[in-house]
Amino acid sequence: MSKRASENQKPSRRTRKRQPDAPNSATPTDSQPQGPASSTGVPKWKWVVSVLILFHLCAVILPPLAFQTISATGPSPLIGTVIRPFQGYGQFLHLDRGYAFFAPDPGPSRLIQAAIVQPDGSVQEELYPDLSSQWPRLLYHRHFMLTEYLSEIYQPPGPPNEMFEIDPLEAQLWQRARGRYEYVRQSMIDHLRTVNDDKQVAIRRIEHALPTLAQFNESPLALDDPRSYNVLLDQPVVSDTIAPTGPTEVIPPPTTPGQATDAGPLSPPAATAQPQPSDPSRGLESATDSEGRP
Amino acid sequence: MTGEATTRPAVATRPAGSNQPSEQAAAETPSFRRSAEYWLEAWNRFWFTPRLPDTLCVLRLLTGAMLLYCHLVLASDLLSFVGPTAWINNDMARQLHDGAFAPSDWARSYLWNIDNPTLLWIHHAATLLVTLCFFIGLGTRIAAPLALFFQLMYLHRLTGALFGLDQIVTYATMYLALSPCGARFSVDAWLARRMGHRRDASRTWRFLLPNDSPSVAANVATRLLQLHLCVIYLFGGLSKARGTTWWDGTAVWYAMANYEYQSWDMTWLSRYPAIISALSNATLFWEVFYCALIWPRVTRPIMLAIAVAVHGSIAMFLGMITFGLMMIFANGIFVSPEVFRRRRSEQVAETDPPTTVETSTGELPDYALKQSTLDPDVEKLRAKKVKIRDAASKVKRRYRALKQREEKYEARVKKLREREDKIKQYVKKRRERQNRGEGSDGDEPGQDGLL
Repeated sequence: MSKRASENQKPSRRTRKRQPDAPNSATPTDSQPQGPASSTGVPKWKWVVSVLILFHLCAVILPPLAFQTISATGPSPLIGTVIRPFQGYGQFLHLDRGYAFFAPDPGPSRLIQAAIVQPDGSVQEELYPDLSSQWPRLLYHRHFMLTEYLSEIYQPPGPPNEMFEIDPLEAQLWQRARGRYEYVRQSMIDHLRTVNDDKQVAIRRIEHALPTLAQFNESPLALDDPRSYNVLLDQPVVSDTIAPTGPTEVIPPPTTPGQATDAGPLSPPAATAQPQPSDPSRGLESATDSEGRP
Repeated sequence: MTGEATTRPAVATRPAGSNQPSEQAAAETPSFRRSAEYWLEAWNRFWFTPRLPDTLCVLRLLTGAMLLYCHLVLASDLLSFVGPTAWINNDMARQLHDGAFAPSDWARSYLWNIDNPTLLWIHHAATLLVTLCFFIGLGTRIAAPLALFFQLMYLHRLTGALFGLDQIVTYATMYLALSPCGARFSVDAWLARRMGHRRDASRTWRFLLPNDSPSVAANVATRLLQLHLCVIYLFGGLSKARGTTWWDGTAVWYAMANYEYQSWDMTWLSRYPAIISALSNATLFWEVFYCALIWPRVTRPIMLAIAVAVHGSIAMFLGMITFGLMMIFANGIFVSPEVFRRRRSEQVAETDPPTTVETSTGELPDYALKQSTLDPDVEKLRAKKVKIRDAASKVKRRYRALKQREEKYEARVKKLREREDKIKQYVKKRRERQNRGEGSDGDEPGQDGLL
């Protein structure tokens, strides 16, 4: 690859013999053509470099393709098989990315709120990331990515016991994902405890909802309005705490022709109130020591 | 081939004994070989045409500055990101890659094992030093791969805290490490000039202090980064195409209404939903078609202008100045190196004749002679050489194209002649048959008359 121009421009003896005056063919690129290239006259080093280039290109193209083909059952069987020889190389060079920036749809931000118990018993709350304390912007962004990461790997508590009988593999995967989330969360709590002089720390995840264009035009609210911050509760998928408090829907009785119904259309489900971040008792995931880890 | 098939006489009229499929195959074989040769040649031209390193040298300056900035920012809160008490502590970082929670991968880093803060600081100081060398182009041949290695070690350690900037800055460094990116705008270039003949005499020095002549390595690095950018945009676009907001035109609204990203309040644009919609759709289509439209010379400036607009907006309004700038820098890989070379030549030509420095003996020192008289001439000659080479290559390309066309015509004429011969033979046979038939017809009346 490090061959210089002069070396490259020198055509091999065989090529010179066969194509004494063969110049390069037309090209729409910026390249400057040099030395002839026939299938018979390609030097060995070019073949080697070509193979390396092809290998690298496969390692560049296949990971985002695998990312696109991934579904609940894993990546597509074809891509999953083809990518295998390139996986390790791609992982080491950080090529195993999906490049899904703001995709498929830009979503709300996920933040972390930390409650730090002061010696006098009062609770000091801090929101991460925080532009006022994390400067320059790149440092703020690193903190932002950490809080996003915690929500990205979030897995609700579980799995339900029945799942181990129905689908043990899926249950194990669930357990593993939950374990990862709990360990990362604990690592963040430990860090916050270290930087806060060993004070008791608890964290919870917050979602900062985005107004739709129509909502914003109808009633413009400040983007940092406290009402747009929602606590993301850490609770099992099937839980009493999220069970509806009233009838979810009223199904109209079947009507016969000419008979009017009193029930009317389907009524909307009962709204569940979203707790506000200022309520420290909701959604807090308190610090546990090393023995209390999952 | 299609035209041939349509003009060919019907099977019933073919001369007996002709073997059409084998003739067809014979006609196809050289065309297949020509096609294979064409592709091989295209591949050869695309990857192995020597290229000036100027664009890469500029990109090295920009990428080096960005990488150095990233490491400096990390240094401002180092122990929050690496070490045993970081947000993601050492054990956790290792377990995210060693198979404890997900399939084991090769994204390994020795930083998982360093708990001592002093060692971490020494390591970071070494990283900063190497990155600085890469930025200023001092020992670039060694500094660039080392900077890449340190960067990768940090990437595998900072799992969870990374974003697009880290990807693009790493890829740029990776491809620069393959190339003689220290040949210009660098301390290496200055050293090479200072060393003069001593550098030329030693192969090691020639490798360590490369000159700025066209090289295959520069071309391979350029092509790899260009293709990698195409892949990034293609899959970025395809990912967006899977959503709904990039189609219904509200995606840009959600991006600018995101308080955590926002660095400039653009919500006033909500009064112009058509603009928001147009921006969303344009971004989607630009990303998807970037990989095709960046190559033709006609559309390349348009694609690059949109790239600057899109990433400039991300830098200014979405708070990701570093990411936006780095993407613009990376897009600069599509700028021809001759742009920088020409600028340099123009600058040299524009400068006033340098004042000569005399030594105590009244003689001009060597270096002064070199600087005052030779450099501008050399530069002018180099610029001329590049121009002449360009013109020559164009002539060669045209010549080659004409030659290929001539070959095609010759082959076609040969085929037509063959066909003409066949038709003549066929006509001759038919006439003979007719003559024979007429002969027999002519006998009949005689026979009848006899009867």
